[in-house]
Formats: sequence, structure tokens, C-alpha cells
Amino acid sequence: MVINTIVYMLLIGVSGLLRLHIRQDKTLSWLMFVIIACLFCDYTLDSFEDQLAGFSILWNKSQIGDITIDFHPSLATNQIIIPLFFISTLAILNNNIFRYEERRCIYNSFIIFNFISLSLLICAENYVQLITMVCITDIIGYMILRDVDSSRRYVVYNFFADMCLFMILAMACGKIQSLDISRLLGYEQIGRHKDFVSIVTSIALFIKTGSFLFQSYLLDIGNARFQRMSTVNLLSAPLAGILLFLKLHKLLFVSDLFMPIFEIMTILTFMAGIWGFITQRHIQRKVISLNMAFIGILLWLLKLNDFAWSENISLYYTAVYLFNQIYFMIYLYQNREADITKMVNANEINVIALKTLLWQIVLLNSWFVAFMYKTAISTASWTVFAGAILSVFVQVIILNHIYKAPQKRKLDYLNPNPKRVMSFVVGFILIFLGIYYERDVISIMLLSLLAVLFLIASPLGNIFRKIYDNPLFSERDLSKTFFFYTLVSPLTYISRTFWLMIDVLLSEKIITTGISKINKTAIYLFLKLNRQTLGANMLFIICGTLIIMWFFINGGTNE
Amino acid sequence: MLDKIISILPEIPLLCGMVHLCILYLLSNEKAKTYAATARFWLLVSVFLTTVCYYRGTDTISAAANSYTLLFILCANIALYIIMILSATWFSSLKRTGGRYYILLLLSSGSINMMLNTENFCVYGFCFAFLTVIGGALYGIHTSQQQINLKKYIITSALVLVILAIGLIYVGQIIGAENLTTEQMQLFLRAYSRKLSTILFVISSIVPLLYALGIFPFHIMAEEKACCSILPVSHYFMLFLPIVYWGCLIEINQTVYPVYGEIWKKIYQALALISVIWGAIGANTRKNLHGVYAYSSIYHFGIILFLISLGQERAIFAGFIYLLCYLLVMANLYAIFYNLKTHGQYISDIASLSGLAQTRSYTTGALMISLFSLIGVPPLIGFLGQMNMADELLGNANYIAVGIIFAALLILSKAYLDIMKVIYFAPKTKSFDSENKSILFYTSINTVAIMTFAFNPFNMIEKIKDMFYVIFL
Amino acid sequence: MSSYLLFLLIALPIFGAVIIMFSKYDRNYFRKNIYHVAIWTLLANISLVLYTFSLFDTEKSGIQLVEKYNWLNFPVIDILLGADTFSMLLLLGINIAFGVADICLSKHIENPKTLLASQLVFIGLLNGYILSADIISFYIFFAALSIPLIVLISSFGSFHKKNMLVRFSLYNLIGTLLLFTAVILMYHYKEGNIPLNTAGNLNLKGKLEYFVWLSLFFSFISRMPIWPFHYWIASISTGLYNPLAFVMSSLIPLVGLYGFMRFWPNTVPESIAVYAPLFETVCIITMLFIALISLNHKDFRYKLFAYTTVYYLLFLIGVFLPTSGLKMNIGYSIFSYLIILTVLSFIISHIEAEKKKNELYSNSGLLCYMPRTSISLSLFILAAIGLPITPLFWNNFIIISEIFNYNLLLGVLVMLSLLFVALALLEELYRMKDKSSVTLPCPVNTDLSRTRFVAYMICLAILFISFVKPLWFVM
Repeated sequence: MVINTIVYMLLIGVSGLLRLHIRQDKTLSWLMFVIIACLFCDYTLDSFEDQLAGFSILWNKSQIGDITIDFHPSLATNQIIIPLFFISTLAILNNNIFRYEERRCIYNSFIIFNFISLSLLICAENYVQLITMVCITDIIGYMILRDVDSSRRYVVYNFFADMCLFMILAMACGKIQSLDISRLLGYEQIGRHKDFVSIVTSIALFIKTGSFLFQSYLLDIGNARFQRMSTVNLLSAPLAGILLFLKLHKLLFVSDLFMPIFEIMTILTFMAGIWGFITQRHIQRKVISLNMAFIGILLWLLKLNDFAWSENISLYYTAVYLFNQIYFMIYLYQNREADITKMVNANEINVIALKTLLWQIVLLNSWFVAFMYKTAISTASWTVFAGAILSVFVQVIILNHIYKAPQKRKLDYLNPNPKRVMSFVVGFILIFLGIYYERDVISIMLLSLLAVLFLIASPLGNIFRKIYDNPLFSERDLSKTFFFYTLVSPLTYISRTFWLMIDVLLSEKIITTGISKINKTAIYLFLKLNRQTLGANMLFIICGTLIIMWFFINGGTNE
Repeated sequence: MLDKIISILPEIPLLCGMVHLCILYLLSNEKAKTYAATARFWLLVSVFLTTVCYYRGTDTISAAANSYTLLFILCANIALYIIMILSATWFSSLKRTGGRYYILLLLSSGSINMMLNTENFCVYGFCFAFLTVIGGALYGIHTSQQQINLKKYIITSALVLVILAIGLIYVGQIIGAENLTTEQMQLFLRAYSRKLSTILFVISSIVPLLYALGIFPFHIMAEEKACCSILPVSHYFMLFLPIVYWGCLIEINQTVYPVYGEIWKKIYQALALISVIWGAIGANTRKNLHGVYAYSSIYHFGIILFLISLGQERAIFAGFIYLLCYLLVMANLYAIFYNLKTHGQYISDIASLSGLAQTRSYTTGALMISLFSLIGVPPLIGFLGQMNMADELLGNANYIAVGIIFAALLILSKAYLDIMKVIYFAPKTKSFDSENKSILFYTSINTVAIMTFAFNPFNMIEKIKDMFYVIFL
Repeated sequence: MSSYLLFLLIALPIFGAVIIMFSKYDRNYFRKNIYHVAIWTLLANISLVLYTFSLFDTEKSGIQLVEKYNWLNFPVIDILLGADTFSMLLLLGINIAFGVADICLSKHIENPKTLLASQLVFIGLLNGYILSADIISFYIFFAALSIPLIVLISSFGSFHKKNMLVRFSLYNLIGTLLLFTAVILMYHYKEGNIPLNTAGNLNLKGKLEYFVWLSLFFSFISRMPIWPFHYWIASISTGLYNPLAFVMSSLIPLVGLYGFMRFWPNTVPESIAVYAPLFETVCIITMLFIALISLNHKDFRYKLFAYTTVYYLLFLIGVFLPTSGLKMNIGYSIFSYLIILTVLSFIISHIEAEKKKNELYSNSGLLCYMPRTSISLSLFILAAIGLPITPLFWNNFIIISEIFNYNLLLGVLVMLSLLFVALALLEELYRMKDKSSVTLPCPVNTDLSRTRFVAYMICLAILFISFVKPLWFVM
């Protein structure tokens, strides 16, 4: 029963939030991993045997339909859920191995919650569940980051994207008068403002995926801890964005403008990623840029696959996670030196670990080239292959920078990094499993292996080394400047103008001032007329009496 | 004989009271509280007898006595009783006996009994003149710090009394003084409605009352009486006399209205609306609480006059309810005055109330509630009056009048809010003397009454209505 | 007992206020006593609301509990009290919000007697306003609400804004008089008091109809910060530094909103309903520009005011929509909104107080000293801006979807306003969390007390449970 799995995961997640002693925390974190791994196996086996019975819980009622929490895994959804489950389990394992969090259980809990929300997002059948899960994923991402400086833009960008999505879904829901996502197809027939809907949705999704122009928030989270950054980058908001492309593509296609925009944005995202990977000094930012390039390729793959997930994409995404993991380990064994220009030659520090990692990444790149070659043949599109080659090429350059760095400092005075043997074992197992899985293109793999090794050894990387010296490339985030001049600055001026014009000048103060003046005039007249002298008093009485008399004389009677 | 004795029974205790006070004076008693207690005692006896023997027989002086007049006499005497209680503290604090004051109060109580119960216009005129004289005598009581303009009072009052006298004498000569009764006058007015004599009579009987109530354009002295006289006298002018004069005005109106209905209505309404506006603006110009209340009363009396002008039973009764609500609040506002002292001096300047809220929370609370009630905020008593008023005016399609009244209320509210502003926001400049516990107790009771009477406890309004409606029979 | 339940809901807080007013001053126990009276009164009231709720069939719409009291025979007026699920939900929200407020209130404020007594009177009257089922009682409670508010503004308002008291009172009075006139006209037309829900069946004709409905409209508008009559309420709100007084002033627009909710849907005649787009335009202009101003404003209190305004106007637009199905959604949203607003107000006041105590001139980095405050503020701001932790989220979704269904432009502008005001809050939150601005050494004892923190977390739990199961407290 799927509901049991979800409930168990929730319980494990909640138990992880308990504030335990450090030793109990360690035990519980491994226990969490074991249970999650078991649940993963159980889920996967059940899905192969097609024994997964979903659930549907009535959440609330509204005039346009019941709001339910649905989780009905199918073959299509399991193609996404299982790899995500796997990556999440792997993330928990890595967390336990590397002990990079003081409170491992809390981190594990967030990963579990994140997975649950992503699963519910994948299986969402109504808008409310969909948008709820998107927001929850974002919140969990924020909780994982737990860093004020790096999460600022993350919160703002994602909030903006969520609001756009909220708006579009609310609009679609209002027009279709149904909360059912499957009825989105009908929007094309009855919906209006199609271009608006499609463009706003695209913007929201591009923001979430951290595409070109919107990568700033991802670059910012580069200031957070590597693993947190990596988890958020691959399992949180950007992934939710990709999943939303799958869920909402019917809505996106209501406008003819979508496809050209999508293609342009995908290419630009990839290019920006590659460019960022080469130019950034900071390794975390480099990895973020690399992920951006990978997301560009992934989006193109989705386009080729009619916005449906596939087994290949699952493999692809797992590989991306592995790339991140290896870069993290390189960073770790470089004594957590983030600046690429300050990294020490691999022959000088943690030699065994770094060289093992080199082999891992070389093998992974070779596999990646072969895998993408196979994918290109199956999709009859060489664009993705070209992208993959380019991404491998730039990685080779950067590996050259790291492994053949000119710095030769002996860092013996530093505490030696603990050898996390298990992480290497896990890494190799996964890579070899991948190679085994793609054994039919082993020749391409060998060829690319040689090419990668050759390129790393070649002096090619030195050509690009100078780029770090130019702050124009390595430090400046042009999208930030772009948004500052196109959005933030005008908004500030408009806001100030409103403040001055409406809040201060054109408010009811004008009216009240006017009334106050009338009042003052009335008081002035009153004081002029209402003299307190005896004469005035007599005059008032006599005049009053005479006027009454005059009225009587000139008036009629009831008779 | 018994009939005659019964007819003057309520006045006998008042006479006794006056004699008693004189004896006390002769015995050189210097305690104001003793004078006040004595006066209160005799007043209470008088009220008791008035209630028990409210049917006074058939002679000219008391022929009109009925439950309507009883209602007004009771209200007036209760107000007088309260004035007597509170004024004692004032006299005590200034180390004065107040003997003259209490004698005059008992005298005026007797006068109003006669004025309300009579059906003869001559007696009415006499009582009015007598009350004016008593008012003058009271106005003459003053402290060394106060500057009164007795000459102005006398000349103005004399002018009004002349107007009163002209009408009564003129008509009295035509039909005989003994025939100046309500019934006879009604016949006379019907017969000679367009004659100058009748018009003069009507004007002479109404204008003094309008003057006494402070309706525009006869309002100047009303403010002077409230502001320049000593606190107990001001209290008397603002609380006691209006009850009596309104009672008389309604009675006279019943005589005159059937004949001059339409023209009467127009005059009343014009005067009422101008009074409403004048009162509201005037209240904003005054820096003294007495002045604000005086102009506020012009506003409220304008509304009552408008209701009376409609000539319908319901509307007149609504006017009476409005009056009662107003007086209950005014009673509280005046009671508060007795507790506003700094260094032994009674204060009434708005500016001198600065910082009152910081130290005198109960007094401030009572003041605030009273002012809210005057604005007509529910569920305070003022709302009851306002609701009756609006119900009648809108029911009679007087939309413009309602608009003017509410617009004026906004202006008037500004004056009240300015008082609140000083109480709460102005920095404290002087220390206030400690509050008198008995006055505080009275204020609390009155405040609770303001807060609860709108809920119509014991079906009070229905009972009052039964008493009041006798006038329409 | 059920025949007096609704009356008790009104009378109990007022009774509590009377006890507070007459409590004896004592140097040691005075403050403690009156706080206890206030808290226990509110807890008793919450229990009463829950008990009343238990008598309801939440599936049913319409009034389910009615109480009738004879008031006057001249003119004939019977007071009718009635409650439906929506009104009870609102009542619960208000009482919980004030309960939390009292628990979190500092014990060292000035004039505790005035504050707590006014608060209880305000709650009693607000309960009465929400429970009133006829036009006269509706007016009575509508108008009476001004009394505790004026007392509070006078006692706790900023000294520099003393003229605001006059403006506030006059605006209130104008609204009150307009409603009064409309109510009396309706009363006269029908020659008797009429239930609120039948106000639309009066068949008023011509000018009278326009006059009555415009009076109603403007009287409710007078309680809402709608341009160009928004400045006074902004001044009042930002000038009240006492959090409880701020919460109470923030509920003034609720009075207007509730008035519209009672009169507008299904009640307003066709001839008047055609003007709804005009009202909506004014609402959206106000929303948008207040949201924009809040982006640039440095005062956190103003941002909170902007937030309250934008959300009230969102609900108001929801009320104006030509659909009657949004009532419960608005109810759920307001329920959470009230609790969020209360907590935020208290947190902001705490921060301001600490800032003043430590002589700091800027909010920047202040939260670095206050971990509990930081957590509370972050969570509640996230809840406030509509993230899925509270019922505000999905109910707003339904409301906004209806707005979009009605008009695209309106929907877009509403969303923009919500976005701007949310960004303003987030921006302030991040400014306060900014480590780089921390220059001073850590001041001592600046964080929230444990009691307050627990109270806030309980509020969050209540909101979260309500998010998962909206009427969880009904068996």
C-alpha cells in the first residue's frame, strides 16, 4: 500500500526532527537511511509487480469541486518517482557518510519531506494539490539552505514564480470551473488570453528551473554549504520546475509563442551554464552553472520526448547528481577550498582520494558521452549530443585547472580529511552499473575515455586559466544588473511617486482641509454675528419676534 | 374646603421648607450641607404629596393637573433634588451656606408646580415672570472671581416679559382675564385667527419660552446664564428649567397648533434648524465647557423643537424622550463639574482639563461616556433619543432636516472631540484635587444609567408614554 | 442553555470588562488580577464558541441558531441574534486572536485597566456585530464599536497624531450616521425591524433605493482604508505602538468588510449591483498603490498595515463578485488572517521595544540577536504571504480563481498587489536577518520569552491543523 509507505516516511521524517543527543542522532540517521532504503526497495518491487494501490483523501470542498490529496502511482509517474526516490536515498546516504551536517537527522528529514512533496506533485490531479506541493517544496528548500544570505534571492524568485503559477492556475481553474488538471486540455477550447497564460506560465517555470536570466538565485545559493546547495539545486525548486513542465505543458501549448520561446531559452540556459562553468572562480558556482547547462539539455530532451519523462531522463538526472557528488568530493579533498585558482595541485594533497575521484569523473563523463550518443540516435537529434560533448569538454578544462593547478603548497598542518571509503565504493558501483547498462555503446565510451584523458593531460586548460583574472567574467552577474535596471529601479521610482502623489497629496487630506476651511469660515461668521453685547441681544430678540410676527401675519391658518 | 387644601398640599411643604431655611439662617447655621439637607427633605415631601395628590381639583390654578404635568413636575423636582445634593459640596468647599440659594430653589419648585398645573394663561405668565425673577436672584449669587452682567439679564428679561405682558393684557382686556384658559383661548383663536390680538397673544405666549430655552435667535442669554453664573446656578439653568419650559411649550402648542398648524410648523422648523446649526458651530467656538454645553443644548433643543413642530403625537413624544435622554446626560456632565478642581478652585476651561485622563480615569470615563451619548452612539441613552428622532423625521419624509441635523452633529462632535483631545493628548500642566467620593458615586450611578437606560429597563418608556399621552386626550 | 448562547457570547466579555473596571488597585496583585480576568474571560468565550459550534451542522448553510429579545414597544423593535457557520468561524478567529494577544501582552504596559477593559468591550461588541441578525441590532453594534476604539486611540495613540483622533472619530461618525439613516429608512419602509438577509427584498424604489444602498455602501467604506479615504486609518495604525491596540485598530476594516458580506451577496438589488465594477476599480487602485508604497516604506508597521489593507480589499473584491459561493472561503481565510495578524503585530512590537531599549536606530540585522523571534517572524511572514501552511493559501486560491473568472485584468492586478506586499514583508524580514548589518555587541535578554514563543507556535499549529482540516474543532 502506497499510503503506508508515505505514512512511514512521514513518521521517519518527523522523528528526525526531534532534538537528540549527537550520538543518538548518528544512530537514528543510519536507521533512517536503512528504513528509507528498505521502503525504496519495497516500493520499486511493488511497482514492478504493479501492486501499488494509490490513495485519495478528501481535503476540502469548494463550489468548483472537491479538493483532494491524490497519490495514484502509474507506470508513467513511477518513472519519475523511483529515480527521485533513489536520488533522495542516495542523498541521505551521502549525508550520513560525510557527516557534513551537525544534525544529520534533521537534514535527512527535510530530504524525506521533499521527496514526499515531489511525489505528491508528480501525482497531483488537482490544482490545489499541485500548487501546494510546489510551495512546500520551495519551503523545504529554504529550510535545507538555512542560510540568510544565500536564500534571499531563492525566496524572492521562487515566491514570484509561485505567485505566477498560483495566478495562472487560479485563472485556469476559474475559466474551466474545475480543479481537475486533466481538464487543462480544455483550456485551449474555452480559455481566453492564451498568449498571456502561456507566457506567464513559461516565465514562472523558467524562474523555477533557474534558466537564463533567472539563474541569480541559484548562483546565490552557492554561498551555502556545498551539499545543501547541491540538494536544493537538484532536488528542490529547479526540479519542481521541470516537473511542472511535465504537468502543465498542455497549458503552455495553448500559445504558438511557447515553443520558440522555450527553444531559445533552453539554448541560452545551456550556453549561460557553460559560460558560467568556465568563468566562475568559485567551485560551487561552477557546479551550479554546470547544472544549469545540464538542465538546458534536460529541457531539450523533454521537448524531444513531447514533455514526457522517460527512462533515459531518469538515468540522465542520476548522472547529474553523481557529477555534483564528485565535484563536492573534489572540493572536500581540496581541503574545502572553494576558489578554483587557489586549489592545490592534485599531486600535493589527498593524492589517493583526488586521483580516485578523477577516475570516477572521467568514467562518468565517458559514460555520459556514450549515453547521450545513444539518446541522440534514438531521438534523431544531434543537438543534445553536441550539448553533452560541450559540457564534457568544459569539464575537462576545469578538471585540468584543478588537477594541474600551479599551487604546490604542502598543507600537512591541516587536519587530514577522513577517507570516506564507502562514498568511493558507492560512486564506483553506480558508475559501473551505468556502464553495464549502456554496454552496447562501450566503444563510444572507450573512445570518449581516451579523449577525456588526453584533453585533461593536454595544456588546453591553461588557455582558459586567464579568464579568472578578469573580474568582468568571473564576478559579475549580468542578470542581476538587468533586473535592477528593468524591474527594481522603476518599481522603486513608481513606489516613491505614488507615495508622494497619492498618499501625501491626493488623499482625503485635501477634502478634510477643505472642510476644515469651511468650518473655520463658519466659525468666523458666527463670531461676527453672535455678539455678546446687550444691544446685540436685544436686537436678536426684537428681530426674532418681529420676524415671527411677520410670518404669522402673512401666513395662513388651518381654518 | 378639602378640595382646596388638597390642591395646595404639595406647595405647603415647600413653604415649610423655606421657613425652616430662614430659621436656620436666623440661627446662624453655617453648614451648607444642613441647608441642602433641609431643602431636600421638604422637596421630597412635596414630591411625595404631588404624586399622591396629583389630581388637584378644578380651580383655575390647578385645573390642568394630570399625569402629563405630574411627569414633568416629577422630572423637574428630581433634577432639583440632584442639584441640591451636588451644590452642597460646592457651597461647602467655598465655605458658604447657600441659604438664599436653597430658598430660591424651593420657591422655584413651587412656581413650576403652578406653572405646569394651571390652565390659565395669566397664572402661566405670572409664574414665568416669577421664575425669571428667581433666575435673576440666583444669577446675582456670585463669587469674587466671577463677573456677572446682571444689568444685561434684567434688561433682556424685562424685554421678554414686556412681550409676554403685551399679548396677555391685550387679549385679557378683550375676553377678560378669567377667560384666558386653554379651552377659551382655543375657541378665541379659532374665531379670530387672523386678528392682530390673537397673533400677539400667540407670540407673547411662545416667545418667552423660546427665549428661556435658548432657541435661536433668543439664545444669547442662555449662554451667559450657563457660563457666567456660579456652578450650582448654572446647573439649575441647564437642568431644571428646561424641563419646565418644554412641558409648558408642549402644552401651549396643543392649544395653538390646531389653529396655526402650517405656519406654526414652518416657523418652528426654521428656528429649529437654525438653532441646530448655530448650536453646533457655537460649541466649536467656545473654550469653556459651560459654553460648549450651552451651545450644545441649543443644538439639542433645536431638534426637540423640530419634532414638536411636526404636531403628531408620536413625534412630540419622541421629542420628550429626546429631552429626557439629553437631560440625563447633562445631569452627568454637570455632576462631573463638581469633581473638577485644582487647588480648591473649580475649573471649567477646556484647556485646564489637560492630562485629566492620566490621573482621573473614572471622571474621564464618565465624561467620555456622556459625550458619546450626546453624539448618539449606541447603546448609550443618547441613541434612544436619536433613534426616536430619526424615526419620526424620516417617517415624515423630512430628509433635508435629517441631513442638516446630522451634518450639524458632525460639527458639534468636533467640539466634543476637541475636549477629548485635550483630556488625553495635552500634557498635564496642573494637578487635580482628589475626587469627592459621594459625587463620584453619583456620577457612577448616572453613568450606569446612561449606559443601561437605552435597554428600556422595567418597560420604562411605555410607562412614561402612558403618562405623557394624557395631553392628547 | 442554548437559548442564551449567543447573548452570552456578547455579554461575557462585557462582564469581564466591568470586573476589570471595578478591580481594586493593589501594588502587588492588581496587574496580575486584571490580566487573569481578561485571559479567563476570553478562554471562557472561546469555549462557548466551540460549544456553540458543536451544535451546528457544518454542512448546512444559512443561520442555524436564532435568539430573539424584545427591546422596545415604542417604536416596536425586537432584537434578533443569529449565527451561521461563517459567523461562528469569524468569532472563533477573533476570540483566539485576542486570547493569544492577552497571553503575549507585556505585563508592564501603561493603563492596563483601560486597555484590557476596552479590549473586552470591543470583543463583546464585535461578537454582537457578527451575531446580529436584524438591521437595528446590526447598526447598534456597528456604531458602538467606535467607543472602545476611540478610547484606545486616545489612550495609546501617538501623541504626535492627536488630530488623527478627531479625524478617526469623525469618519466613524459619518459612517455611523449614514448607516443609521439607511437602517431607519428601511425600518420605516417595512414598518418594523427586518432580518438582515431580507434587506434586499424590500423593493425600495427610485431615489430611496439609491439613497439607502449608497448610504450602506459608504458607511461600510468609512471603515475601510479605501483611496482617497485611506490616510487616516494608516496614520492611526502606524501610530499605535501597543500591539493589542494595533490589532484592534486593524480590525476596523473587518467591520466594513463584514457589513458588505452581510448586505451585498444575494441581497443587493440588480440596479445597485451594476455599480460593482466601479467599486472594484477603486478597491484595486487602493490595493495596488498601497502595496507599491509598502515596497518603499521603511516602517515595518506600515508594511503590516499595507498587508492588512491589501488582504481586506482582496476579500472585499471577493464579496463584490457576482457569486455567492465564496463566503466560506473568505471565512476560512479571515480566520487564519486574524491569527497571523495578531502574532505579527506582537512580534513587531517586541522588536520595536527591544530596539528602543537598546537604542538601536535600524532594524537591520536585529534578528541575529533573537533566534526565537527570528523563527517566529519568518514562519508567520511565510504564512502571511500565503504559503501553504495555513487555510489562507487554498482559500485565497479559490477566491482569486473566481476573480480571474470574472475579469482577467482585475485578477492580474490583485495578484500584483499581493506580490508587492509580500515582497515588502520579505524584504523587511531579510533586512532584519542580514548578518552583515550587525555591528553592535549582542544586547542581553532581547529574545522572545519562552511563553510567547510557545504561544506563537501553538498558533502556527492551529493554523496548520486548520489548513489540513478546516473545521477540525467540530466533532
